[in-house]
Amino acid sequence: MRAMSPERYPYVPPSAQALDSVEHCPVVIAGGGMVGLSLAIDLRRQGVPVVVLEKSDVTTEGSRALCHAKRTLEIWHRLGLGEAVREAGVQWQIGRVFHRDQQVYSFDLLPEAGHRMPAFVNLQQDQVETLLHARYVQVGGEIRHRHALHRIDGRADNVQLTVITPDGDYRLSADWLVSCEGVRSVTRRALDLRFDGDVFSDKFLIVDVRFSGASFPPERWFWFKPPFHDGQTALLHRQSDNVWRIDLQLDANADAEVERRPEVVRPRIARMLGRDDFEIVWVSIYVFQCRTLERYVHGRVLFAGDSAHQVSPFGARGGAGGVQDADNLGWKLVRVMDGRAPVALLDSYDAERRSAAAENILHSCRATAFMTPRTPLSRLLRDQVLALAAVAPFARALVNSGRLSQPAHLVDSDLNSTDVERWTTGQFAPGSPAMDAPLGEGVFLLDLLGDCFVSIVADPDVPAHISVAGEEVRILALGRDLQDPTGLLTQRYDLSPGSMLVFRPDQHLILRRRAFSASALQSAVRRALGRSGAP
Amino acid sequence: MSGLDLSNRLEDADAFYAALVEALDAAGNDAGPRLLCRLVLILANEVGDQEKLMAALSLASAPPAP
Repeated sequence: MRAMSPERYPYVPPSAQALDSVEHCPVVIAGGGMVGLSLAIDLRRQGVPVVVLEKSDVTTEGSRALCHAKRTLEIWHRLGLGEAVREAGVQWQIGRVFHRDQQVYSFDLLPEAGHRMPAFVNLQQDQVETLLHARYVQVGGEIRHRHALHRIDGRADNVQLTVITPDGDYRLSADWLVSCEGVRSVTRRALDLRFDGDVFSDKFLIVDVRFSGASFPPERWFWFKPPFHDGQTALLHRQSDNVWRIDLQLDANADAEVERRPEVVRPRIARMLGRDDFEIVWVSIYVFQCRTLERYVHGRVLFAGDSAHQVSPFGARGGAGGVQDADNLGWKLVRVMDGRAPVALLDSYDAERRSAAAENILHSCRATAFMTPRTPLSRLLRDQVLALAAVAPFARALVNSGRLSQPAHLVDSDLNSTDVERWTTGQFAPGSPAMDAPLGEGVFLLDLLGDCFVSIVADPDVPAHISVAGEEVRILALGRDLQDPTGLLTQRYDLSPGSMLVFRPDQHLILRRRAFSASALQSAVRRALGRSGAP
Repeated sequence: MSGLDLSNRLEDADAFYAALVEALDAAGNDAGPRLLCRLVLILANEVGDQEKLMAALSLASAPPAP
């Protein structure tokens, strides 16, 4: 993909009729960024009428949420654009951590083969949004640019919205409003919801620079106290189009306006790169923040992504968490709307994603504390960890340059059915997202999972479908519907002859048994639909 | 470093580090060093083995890399 300027989309004014009446939309999504468009695509693919309101008419400026983790790519693959993102971006899986100019350690985020998606793809957020937008239009979605959500009046069975456009205000009613507006959510403010957490004082300079003939490989390189940026931290990532992302820690009392000036930025970057023949593409300054809402479901108003929770960078957890929110919410909202599931199923969205956000915030705060010690003594401790790490492997485990995003294992969810047998799959358990495996001829397990409930059974003599609670559960039999030529499927899931796995529509495991059981499968699906005890 | 196992044996390294930093930050610059000294003594007693303690002391005393 060539370097792109931010994409500009046409503004379509509301019709005279719209200005004079109240239009009804089953689902309104506020915010047409990564999270809002991911959810909108998912809903549209399943036939739900959706309107996306986006206050801007251009894609996000700069790299921003640059690193897209494997789980994010797998979700986008289910939505039909995973390969496009992979092809447009830069794949990587190796990270290196340096103290001064010495490498302390390196890590490989995906040392094993047999997965469709790589550990990470770096692609600038504006380019991702362009691909999401194109996919959303492809599935028949409607997005209204320069239509800004302004006022929200919640009712028992719908939400009344006032939308501002350059040509005047108009009103919408929606059965459901999903706020994917980011940290400056209008919806959150309109509902006067607390958004509590930690705001750290240290500032970080982010710079996108373009240059050719780079000597850096496509890896994540992180420095503590590098010789080119004394006493602070630095991060380097390769992006597409010969653009590199650089994050430099600044003093807590740095003047953001001064630090973003080209005459201040350029020498800093030149010292780091050892060259001056680069183009500054984008500059920004940010501070670490870790905050969350107390609840993500407020009647008919739902929150996802940075509208609901905010984490510091250095773990790729913000974008990944938001896309997992969308993945979690989509199948539940579809089923609540068409009556296959009770409204109470959305409580599981709240519980599962708040738990995931809490984990992200925990990791984010710990990384922040390591990078930006608050007291002289904790700084001394951090520096001695770095010094010891050069000679003592145990100290490397303490060096925290940001624990990179891993998918949430929803093992405490009420939607899971508990194991009753022994399985040797490490942390993989009911609630975990499916692990990919090659099934031969370019087909991977995750290609076959998603959108509906799917069961994998290591027994060719089972039915192809089972109906339960309005759901048609697909049953894929090993040896009949799918093959395991490398044995990785059997190995990764600890399958034995007859074993049964059941995955929910977002590819998370809900049940596993050592023998096929139609009644156990039906019970598990009812439970996952929030219909435990229902016939 | 005979006798010392320098591989990572911490069950949850990040959680321990976070707890230690929290304790140090709470103690402040005056009480923090005292906390660290006490912690060393408590852990030394837990290790017990004189050879390991001397090896650890030697490692901790080594001058920083240039």
